[in-house]
Amino acid sequence: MTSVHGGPRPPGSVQVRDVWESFRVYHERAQGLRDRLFAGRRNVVEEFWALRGVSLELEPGDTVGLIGENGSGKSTLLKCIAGIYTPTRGEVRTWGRTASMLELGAGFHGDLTGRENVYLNGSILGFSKRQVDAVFDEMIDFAGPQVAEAIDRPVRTYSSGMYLRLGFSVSVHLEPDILIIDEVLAVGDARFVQKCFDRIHELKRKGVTIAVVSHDLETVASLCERAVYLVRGEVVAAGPAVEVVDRYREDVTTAAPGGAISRWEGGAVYGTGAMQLHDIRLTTSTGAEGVATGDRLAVEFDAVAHEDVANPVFGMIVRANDGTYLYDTNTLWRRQGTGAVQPGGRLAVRFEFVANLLPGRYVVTVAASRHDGKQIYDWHTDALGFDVVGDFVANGLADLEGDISVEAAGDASAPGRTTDDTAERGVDTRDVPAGGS
Amino acid sequence: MYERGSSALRELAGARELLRNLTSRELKVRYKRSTLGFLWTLLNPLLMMAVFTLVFSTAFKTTIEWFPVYFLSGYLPFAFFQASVMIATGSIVGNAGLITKVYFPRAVLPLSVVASQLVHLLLGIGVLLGALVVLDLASDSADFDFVPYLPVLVLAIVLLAAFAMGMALLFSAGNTFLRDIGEFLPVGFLLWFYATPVIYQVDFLPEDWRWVLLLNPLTYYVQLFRDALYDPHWPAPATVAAATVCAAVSLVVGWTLFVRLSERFAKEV
Repeated sequence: MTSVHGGPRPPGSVQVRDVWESFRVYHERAQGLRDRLFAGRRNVVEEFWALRGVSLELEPGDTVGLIGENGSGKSTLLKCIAGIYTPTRGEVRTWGRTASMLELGAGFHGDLTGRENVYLNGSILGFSKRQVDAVFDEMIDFAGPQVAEAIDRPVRTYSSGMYLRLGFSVSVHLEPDILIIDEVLAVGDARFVQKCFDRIHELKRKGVTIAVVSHDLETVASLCERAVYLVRGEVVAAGPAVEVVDRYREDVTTAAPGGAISRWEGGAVYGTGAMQLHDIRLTTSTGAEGVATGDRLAVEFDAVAHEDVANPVFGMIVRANDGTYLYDTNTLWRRQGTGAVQPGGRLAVRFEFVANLLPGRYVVTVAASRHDGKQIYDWHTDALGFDVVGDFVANGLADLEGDISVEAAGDASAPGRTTDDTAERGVDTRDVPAGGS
Repeated sequence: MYERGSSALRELAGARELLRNLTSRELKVRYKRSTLGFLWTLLNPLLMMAVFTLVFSTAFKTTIEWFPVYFLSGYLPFAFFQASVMIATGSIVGNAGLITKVYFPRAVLPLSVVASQLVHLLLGIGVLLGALVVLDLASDSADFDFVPYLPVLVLAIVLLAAFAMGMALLFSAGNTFLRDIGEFLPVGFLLWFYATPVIYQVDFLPEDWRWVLLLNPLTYYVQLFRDALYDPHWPAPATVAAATVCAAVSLVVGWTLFVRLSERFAKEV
């Protein structure tokens, strides 16, 4: 990585040129001597390209949101811009001072006081004591009275909320030329989050270049002028944020033709093999043309025994595509006997469930294990995937079947007020000691 | 703010303040929860001295004069080196949270460990110098006239610190990729301790084994400290030359490897 300070471009510029980034994925992470010496080439090492030829130019004051599903490479790209990763191929250049906000309070030490940590954190982000001095009071003020009061106590005594508030405050008061933010805005109480947004908008007005990764598309659309949409490490759309976000939303909520239900490439498959699962498939009550919210789905597979097994347990896990755990059930918890199976014996297993899910992509893991669930016979991580499609009326994962009613509110009439007053008095009464009256 | 990549050395120079803050973090945090706190820096070597003196004056009947002084003038530099390298070795892996979240010149992590250990070393030496003054005045047979040879002491500290920095960089980077290094170090240093003339004199070893001492860089540093403190005189040019070469090689090799490997730290920790 090269960077030229005060080079041909003004501070706040970023140039990402044809960046490729690879990770080595070890099946069994080889970090010990024995693994290196004896496993040698037999060790299964896969090369995984998180970024494939990404280019991006930012001018001072640009605000860009990186969007895409988990594993699309957006966080990797952000870390390349932040300098945390060095591109395997290609080049990232930045002009000016870069501060990354990938984790609030990164580098805080529990035994040091809030004040000591602020200076330490400041210098980790690359700011001098004088620069921190200049904004210290403002910073503490922003973090709130609770933090201000505890500033000379060790941060291990802080609540997690205080910790995050102080961490955020440090990050946004030291003004860099380029600010990098990864999913850190969803912290603390609503009021503090609002304050954070206000502060980031203020930095934006001051001309700080901002690159942000967020799952919250509204954040991206409102904060960023531009957006870059990544799929499997490649840029598939870049341009005005509102348009790119719409395009992404469309992709997530519209199934590709015939691709609504797919045999996933899937994740790890493992187990003793005493029993093996075959022909794992997903069917819908309406046929295979895509899944709509509320559809009844069935996950089916055949389980073939290779040894004598008694009462094997069959289970299914549904997860959102970003890994969020949604639903997990099995025959053991349901106290459902499955009987004895001899070698060569075959069972047909069928899980039925209702997709009370909002539009998006979901994955299904299936498994067979011993009668007590403690030994895995065959486990297929993310064996299936399906896309729930539908109109975008709500964001999130579960369909809570919400309704919104909006009516013209009546006059603030006397009965309403009376009720309020009664409630307040009720509280007051409780505060009076029982024997007081 | 760091000027990323402009040149790894220039970048490190720009992070002086971070280095200072991390060093003071090391120092503050270390004794934060112990009652005697910083006193341990002095108590530890003194207690070690007491134990070894007891063992060597009763069980082994050492012939070394002023054994406690002989011991401390070798043990202080050795302990500094050992603590620097052992703590620095875990400094990259141990700060994974930082390395994967923030960019900063990674070398400040092991170097701040060495710097904080240097503070401990200086304090220890300060106390030893005080003791020598007292001994010199109190005893007729004692002759610890170290004052004219203070430049030797300064040279010894500078060279040893440089040697330790190189090793700290080397081991911390290596341990990130090969965690066995950290596991092996305690035994490795035990062996290294006995291969260094801290509790014995060079001629204590059979001649067939003296080559071990000649190959061990710490022999030269310990010798320089002894030349300055235990038996004050100007060191042999060969000792100074060997200590200088070892320090330079250690720094160059440690720094080069560290810079090369550090690009991959964020993915490996």
